[in-house]
Amino acid sequence: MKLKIILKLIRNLFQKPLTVRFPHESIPIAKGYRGKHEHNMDKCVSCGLCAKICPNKAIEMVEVAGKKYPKIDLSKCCFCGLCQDICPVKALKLTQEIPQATPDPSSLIIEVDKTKLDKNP
Amino acid sequence: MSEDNQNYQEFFFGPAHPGSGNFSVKLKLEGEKIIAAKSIPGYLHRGFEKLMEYRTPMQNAVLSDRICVFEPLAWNLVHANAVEELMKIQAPERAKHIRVILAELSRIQSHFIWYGALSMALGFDTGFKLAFGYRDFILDVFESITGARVYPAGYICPGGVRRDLPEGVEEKILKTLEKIDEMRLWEELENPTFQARTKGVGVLKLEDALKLGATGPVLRASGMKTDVRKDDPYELYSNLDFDIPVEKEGDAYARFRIGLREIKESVKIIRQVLKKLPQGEIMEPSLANLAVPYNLPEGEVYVRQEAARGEAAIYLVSDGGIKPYRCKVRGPSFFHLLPVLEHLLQGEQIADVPVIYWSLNHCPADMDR
Ligand code: SF4
Ligand code: SF4
Repeated sequence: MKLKIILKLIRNLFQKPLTVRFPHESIPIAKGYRGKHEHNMDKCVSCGLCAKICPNKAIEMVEVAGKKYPKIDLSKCCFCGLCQDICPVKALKLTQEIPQATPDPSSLIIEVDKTKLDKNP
Repeated sequence: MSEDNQNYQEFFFGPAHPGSGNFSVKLKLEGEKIIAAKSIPGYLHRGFEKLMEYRTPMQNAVLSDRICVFEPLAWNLVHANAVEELMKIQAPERAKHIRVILAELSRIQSHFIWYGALSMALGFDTGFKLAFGYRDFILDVFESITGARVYPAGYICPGGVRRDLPEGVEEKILKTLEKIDEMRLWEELENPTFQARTKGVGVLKLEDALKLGATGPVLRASGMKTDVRKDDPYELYSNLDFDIPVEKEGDAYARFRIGLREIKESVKIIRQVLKKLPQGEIMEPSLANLAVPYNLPEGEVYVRQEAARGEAAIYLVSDGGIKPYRCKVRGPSFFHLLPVLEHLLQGEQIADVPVIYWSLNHCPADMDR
């Protein structure tokens, strides 16, 4: 037992630390990580299921150009991914991007992007 | 402060004390000795029992994470099993295996936090940093399986689990188990200061433990061989081979030893389950489509399980609607922090308060709900 620990201690002298130097280095984010949403409006069929299942009522259906689209408030969101799982056409997807802390609450709202709509009627 | 010609001082431990974590104890001191202690709960009350009455089981699964900060997966499992028992369904075999692996990993990481917090209470910072450093290896596994490091967002949900294991995660778990064994080696070092500060401190006798409602590792450290996984098996535990560690002394040191030995047993369980992990469904087909809401049949169930800090239970009543009528959460820390802590602190020295407090392996979050 003791010998094992001494060997380990010696090995530890030459090992890298458990931590990384954060802003310069960072650990990779796993593939299935639940981060910020990505909304593909061309696919969306305006069913409203995502707004219905959201446990935090973070999704509001807003009308844009005669059709309803989800508007997501990330400051209410708990990143559970239920909206992604329920969407029948896979229009909502959680990306690996982590929303950063911000002093401006409006930057956390994912609005329906009208410019994109005009290009793809 | 003196009152009625008595010389005593009143002193608060917490809620803003770095070692207390959202919980407060009011101590009555005579010199350095504690003559009475009063626990003050409520700093972390979020009202889960009421919130759950307004949500469907799938949304509640997401909510059940937050009952305990240190082991969300264990609470996911209690909630999922309560709903399944009410609906009289069973999760598929593969889901059951995944659930047990995650529940045991969650127990290990929670015991690491326990060791880290106990070390911090002793002023032994190396132990704290090691424990939290090694815990991150387990969080890496959680991240790749559930999609987040701490809160799995109802990964273990009524009917099974929310997604299948990603490719190559089995090897990752095996590698993590090696890291866990390495951490156990560090814990076993037990330097003399650690022993001097924990041996004979906060002794909880068996009859007091039973009277005050202690469960889990705290009760086992007082000499009772009990574990819900053996006494009232759920999931796969009846087919698994593992021991229940028991210590006799009932002091802070015995509780530390229990934590250490339980990590070893959990590693044993994970290795067994990984060996016989079957292929197949991960979700009960009738619940798999989230868009189709289901009714909870009328009735009531009480489901109890062994979480890392004791007996965790949920009492669920349904009147036949899609949302539960009533949900009661029984957190193990409630009994450890109110009656047990008040009992243990009496007659102790003030310098021993953090040690006794953290040796109880509690989480103010699951006490306040
Ligand atoms: S991830 Fe969860 S909380 Fe966030 S918007 Fe989707 S359903 Fe709502
Ligand atoms: S669930 Fe999908 S298709 Fe339906 S409204 Fe939401 S984003 Fe659109």
